[in-house]
Amino acid sequence: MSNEQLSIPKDQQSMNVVVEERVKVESFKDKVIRRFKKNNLAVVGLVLVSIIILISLFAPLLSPYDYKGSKVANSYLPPQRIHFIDEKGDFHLRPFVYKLEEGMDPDTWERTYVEDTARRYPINFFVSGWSYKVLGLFKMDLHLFGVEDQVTFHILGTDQLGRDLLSRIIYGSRVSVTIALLGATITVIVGSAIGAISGYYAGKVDMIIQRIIEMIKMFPKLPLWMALSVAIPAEWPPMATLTGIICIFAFLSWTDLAREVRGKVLSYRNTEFVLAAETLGAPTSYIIIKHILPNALSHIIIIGTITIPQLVLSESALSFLGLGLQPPMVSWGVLLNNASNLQTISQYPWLMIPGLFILVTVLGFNFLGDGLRDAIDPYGD
Amino acid sequence: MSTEDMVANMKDDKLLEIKNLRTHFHTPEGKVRAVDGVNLVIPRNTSVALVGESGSGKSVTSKSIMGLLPQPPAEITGEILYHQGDKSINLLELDPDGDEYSQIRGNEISMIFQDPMTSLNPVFTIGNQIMEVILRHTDLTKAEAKERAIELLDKVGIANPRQRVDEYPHQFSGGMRQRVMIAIGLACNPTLLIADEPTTAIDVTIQVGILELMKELQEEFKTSMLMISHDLGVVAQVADKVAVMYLGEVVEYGDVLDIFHSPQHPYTKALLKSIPILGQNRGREFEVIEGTVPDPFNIPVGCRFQTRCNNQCPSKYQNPPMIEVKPGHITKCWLYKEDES
Amino acid sequence: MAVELENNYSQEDKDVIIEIRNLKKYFPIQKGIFKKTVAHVKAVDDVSIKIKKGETVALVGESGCGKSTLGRCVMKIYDSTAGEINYYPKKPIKDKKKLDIADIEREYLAKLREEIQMIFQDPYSSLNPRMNILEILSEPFRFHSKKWTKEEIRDRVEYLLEAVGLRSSYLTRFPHEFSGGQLQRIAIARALALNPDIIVADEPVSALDVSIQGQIINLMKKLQKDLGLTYLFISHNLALVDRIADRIVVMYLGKVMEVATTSELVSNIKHPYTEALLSAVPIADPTIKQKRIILSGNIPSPSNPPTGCVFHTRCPYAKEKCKVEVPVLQEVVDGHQVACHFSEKLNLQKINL
Repeated sequence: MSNEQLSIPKDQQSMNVVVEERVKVESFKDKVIRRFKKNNLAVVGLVLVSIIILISLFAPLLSPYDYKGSKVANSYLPPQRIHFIDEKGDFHLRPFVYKLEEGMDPDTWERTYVEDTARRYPINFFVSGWSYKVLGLFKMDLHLFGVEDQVTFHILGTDQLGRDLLSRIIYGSRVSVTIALLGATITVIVGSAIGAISGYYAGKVDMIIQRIIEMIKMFPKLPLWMALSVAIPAEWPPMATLTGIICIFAFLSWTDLAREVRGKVLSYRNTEFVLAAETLGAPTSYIIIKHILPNALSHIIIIGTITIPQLVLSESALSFLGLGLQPPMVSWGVLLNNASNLQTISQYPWLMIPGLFILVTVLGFNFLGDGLRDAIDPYGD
Repeated sequence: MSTEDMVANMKDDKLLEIKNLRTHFHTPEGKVRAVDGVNLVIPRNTSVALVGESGSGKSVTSKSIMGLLPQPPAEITGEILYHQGDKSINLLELDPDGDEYSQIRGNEISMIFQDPMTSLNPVFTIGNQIMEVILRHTDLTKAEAKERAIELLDKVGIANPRQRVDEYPHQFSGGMRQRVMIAIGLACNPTLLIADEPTTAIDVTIQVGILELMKELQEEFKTSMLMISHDLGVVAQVADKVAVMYLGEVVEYGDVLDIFHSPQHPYTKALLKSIPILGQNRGREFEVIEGTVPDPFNIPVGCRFQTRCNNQCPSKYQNPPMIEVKPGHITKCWLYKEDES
Repeated sequence: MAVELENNYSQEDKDVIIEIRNLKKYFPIQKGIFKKTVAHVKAVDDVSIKIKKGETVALVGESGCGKSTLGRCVMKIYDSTAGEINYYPKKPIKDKKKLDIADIEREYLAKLREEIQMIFQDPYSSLNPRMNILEILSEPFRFHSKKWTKEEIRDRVEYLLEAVGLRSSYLTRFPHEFSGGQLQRIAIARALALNPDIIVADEPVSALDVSIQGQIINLMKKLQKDLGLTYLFISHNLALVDRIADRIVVMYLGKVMEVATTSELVSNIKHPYTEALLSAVPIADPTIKQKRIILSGNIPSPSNPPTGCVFHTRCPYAKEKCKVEVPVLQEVVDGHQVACHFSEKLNLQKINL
């Protein structure tokens, strides 16, 4: 069927060709970006999230020490001070540290550390240090900052085994962020699919799926996690355990997203453009993917972004309780687990700093998620 | 003579006088001049129809009168003089959230809206919603207010008012709900009733009854009506005077007979020719107005209708003056400048 | 209880393109946890209409009359409860000269969709706001039996756009950048993409400004002439329908009250409902004071229609018989059908022209 069969005479004079002035209209994307930029908290959230993700990506580069490397001689070192001004009162542009001398307090028999101000050890950038493999393929030993060998450089102190806390936190970010992002991704995919099916077909299918969702939500989270994580065999290698943990979380968190998506699909199901697509002969899968989901996309993005901090907290909670991840895997929750005793809180409080990182990460993602929601849907659909 | 003077000189007993009303909205994309210099008179005991299409500013005008637009983002200038007996108040000088305006709203100037399905609160009875207005503006007791509500329901033609006064909106059909809206609007004997597209959402055989009712009530209560509508048939049957709006301005104003039988402004003429009339021109092509309404950010400089007008006007880049074609009939167009004596 | 149509438009039967016979569409009303069906909304209740090739047949009526539902049954958006919708295509579809849309097999449904297309009331919701115009207009070709190349589609889409009076530079824009009138033109272009025989237009101009309505109707008329289209035009606007339709079908509460050519209907009204309907249309001329017939009562709900003649509760001429017996749609004058027991005896007022 070609154009010749559609015999419309090219006589445009009888047709009122509509004259249209070029209108400067803001596209949807521009609108969202503009609203987002105006929201200060949202921008802060974006910055924080970017930082955290960069940290986890470049973990080896940023860690002055190997997170596994223990040196019992250096156990429980408090955070070292970074100086700009030396003993004599001179200002140096390059920050430096002093060597720590171990001593003993004569009265309390406590270990004390005194800085040996004889020599300054400037912090160098782009030094070589312990070596690591990039992407498991090639070796590198470049680190963003460090000091000469032999000198202790623990910005956040060390733990019981003398392992540098900063490095462990940085590596821990990898695990926590990976679990959160992967878990959220699985949640979004599974939740969207199930929600879309539930909403589109309605009727019996919808009823069954909704009852299943309710049953899953019925269970109290913590005992369920505990039961599921205990079900992971202890012999499994760390990566498998990690995957297992991610799957557990995804399994429990897709329900909220599914409900949201179902609601959106239900509301778009009967719009006229969906009806029009049906009259054009479009199959169901095409309609869901091409017509309905893009309109629900904003909600999916928002919920996905909110799920991430939820998963960070969940993983931290689980590991904190001693379930979930086990050493030598490091996550913030595991680090906090190590800090969960009275001795730590009273004598080695720096070991609780991972909690601060959790806080900042969760806040960052929450601000980002809220900001996205306000930018995409300011009137609350 | 300026437009204001022309309007001021009209020999009607004025109830509401709108002078140079400008309602602008500040949006991220720029300033929308929704209403840009409207001059209008609503005489006592008269029905004035405000006619226009999308972008004409008719709805915004009515909301400006009622003080329903938060400023910002709206920016309203001009005067809306309300002549109450001996006194005259400029409504725009009052605080829209203040007591004085609240006293006027619903009591002396009331409004009924387009969609009866959504303008009534579904969780309160009809009686309650009528009584709310009465109790707010009068000293009647609850029982007395209820009696009055029943009276009003009867007046607007609802059968079994004593029983139905306790029913909920969902128990009424669309036409009945609009009657209830009218009852609420007239509850306090207002001097001016603003009706925003009152019959657009209603079936045509029900519309007949509603329009008849409105005319009867206007006679009885001596209420003035400002009716906003795009349905010229309804306007022809109900209005005494007609104001035609285009892109934020009144382009023509006069008696309903003059507007329909001797329209002056090219837009009015084209509008009247473009609508179908039952029994006329069967099978013939429509005479259309070329082009589309310019978007509010791209308002043409000078005469706003120039992009669609059939006449070639040399002065089209300058704002056309308001010409008095005959006493009581004015139009904003260059074509009549020379004819003016 | 089938209502047989006597006296068809016999001499032009071969020109019939759609024949609706005793069509019913009931929607179940379900209550309770177990979703028991307690009643039915009788949206379309035993309707028979013939539509000829190249005609514009208007379905008019008020809320609850079933005109939209009928249109959707023809489009196979709804599955009808009973009755036939016989389609006689210009060229046989896979050797079939007649297809019953109400009872069609899957293999023919795809072909059917190419021949009967729909234009919806609100162009802002019938076009996906997230797709640009090129994508919207390319969609019909994805599901077409013939395989189209990208260039072929692009060519055709540009052609369609010009045919409805729009520039091909608009292809990259999104729906929100257009006015209602322009969007409806795009919707029309989409409906025409695969060169259908029939277009069901469901209130195609009701959501548009009054002065734009004429533009769109002129366009539709021109396209009808050039392409030999048949229109099923659903509207509540009688003045509009009077201007453009060849024949008018007046519906009330799921049933047909009267069918006639436009001029015949307006000058020789036979049904009391039509009389009331036409007298209710406000005329845009203040010197014409119509004698308006005000019907008593409200439009009943289609879930609980009156017995006998569905109009009897509001009919000024109703008698006992009307409460009991359902009137049959009968031809009283050539081509003019009425469903009223007393149509011959009534002397109904003409429209004041």
